Amino acid sequence: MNIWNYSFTNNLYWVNDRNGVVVVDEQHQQSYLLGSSESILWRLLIIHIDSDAIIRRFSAIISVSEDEGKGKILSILSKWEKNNLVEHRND
Amino acid sequence: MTNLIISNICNANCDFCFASSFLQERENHSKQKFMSFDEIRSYVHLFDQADIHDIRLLGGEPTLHPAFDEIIAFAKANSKHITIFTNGCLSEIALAALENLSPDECAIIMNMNAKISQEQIRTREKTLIRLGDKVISGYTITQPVFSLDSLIQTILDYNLQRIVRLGLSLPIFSKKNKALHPKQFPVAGHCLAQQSFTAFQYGIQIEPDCGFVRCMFSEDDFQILKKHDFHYVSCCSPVIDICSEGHFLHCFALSEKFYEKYHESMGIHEIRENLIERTNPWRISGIYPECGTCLYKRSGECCGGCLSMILNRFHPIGNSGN
Repeated sequence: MNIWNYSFTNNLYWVNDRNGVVVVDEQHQQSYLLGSSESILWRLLIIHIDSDAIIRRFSAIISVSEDEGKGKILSILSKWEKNNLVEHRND
Repeated sequence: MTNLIISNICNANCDFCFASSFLQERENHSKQKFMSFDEIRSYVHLFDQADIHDIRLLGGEPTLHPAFDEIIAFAKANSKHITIFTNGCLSEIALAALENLSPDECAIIMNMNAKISQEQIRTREKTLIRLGDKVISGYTITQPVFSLDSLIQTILDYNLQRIVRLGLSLPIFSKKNKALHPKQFPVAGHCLAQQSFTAFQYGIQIEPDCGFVRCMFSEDDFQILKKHDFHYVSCCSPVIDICSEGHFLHCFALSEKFYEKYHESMGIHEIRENLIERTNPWRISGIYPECGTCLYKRSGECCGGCLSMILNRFHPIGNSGN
């Protein structure tokens, strides 16, 4: 993952299920079924494209402007940070 | 229920075996082929504390244990019921140890599609003749299309218990063994429904082991099986496997990932609960991508299948994934 100094935490496992991406956080013994836009973002993040491309593709898929898309991505990342799925590095 | 893995070695060579790689590693690591009698004794006392009255002996091949006859005598002296999982190639000592036990005292679950030599088949025949009344046939489905005809014939010929304990060949997590692919399950389910006609005709009951999922049976096949006394269950409730040196496994298929080291402060039930708790997050998914939306799973009619199969679907993200 390469977006705004966020990185995935360790010991995560994920799978594409019909109803969305399922993530298991083995360290905290938790699992999450990601919502539809979260699942889209997750799939984009794991293919290692740069942040501009992520914003562009994410916004196009959920049919919003890139500014709105960026805001949505930040809110998802912030939610994931609370759930220990990602961590933010302050450089 | 708890299994005691008293032997790390086996004299069969089944390609679907999900114990062999783990036991081979243990044997290489500890240089120990068998669980010591002292250790067995201490676990039987642990069973007493946990109110467990059935001693289930597994391996490898448990009857290869050099003190097998003493273990049986010890279990009997402690009024335990004995269940043995075997390929049926029993030595004279093992046969003699079991021969005088009644079917109420002992059940012998025999792997009827074990990969054994011609000579071993003759040895197994002797076991069937002498211990037949205690033998429950075990059969592992390794191909989506299979036949139980010769197994049914064996049950009738040797007057074995009229039960078939049916398993699916399931994968070992992160290892290689011969296992059915989930996509093959519906064909296997249909084949089973067809096989159940003959079994029912001879009063033979088919009991499923773990790993079965509800959607592998069409509604028609499910009704046929129900009519033929097939008691469908879909469960992944671990029967803890206790190996030598206090190694407690969730099951062989998940031996790489879910195990606990025994500590005196913990009882068997507590260890089992810990292992179940650790596996719970994974149960949100199932063996198919559709499991998350499946009504059978939501209603509890299906558990989503074998956890090892589920885990094999997941992709890891570690530091390398960042």
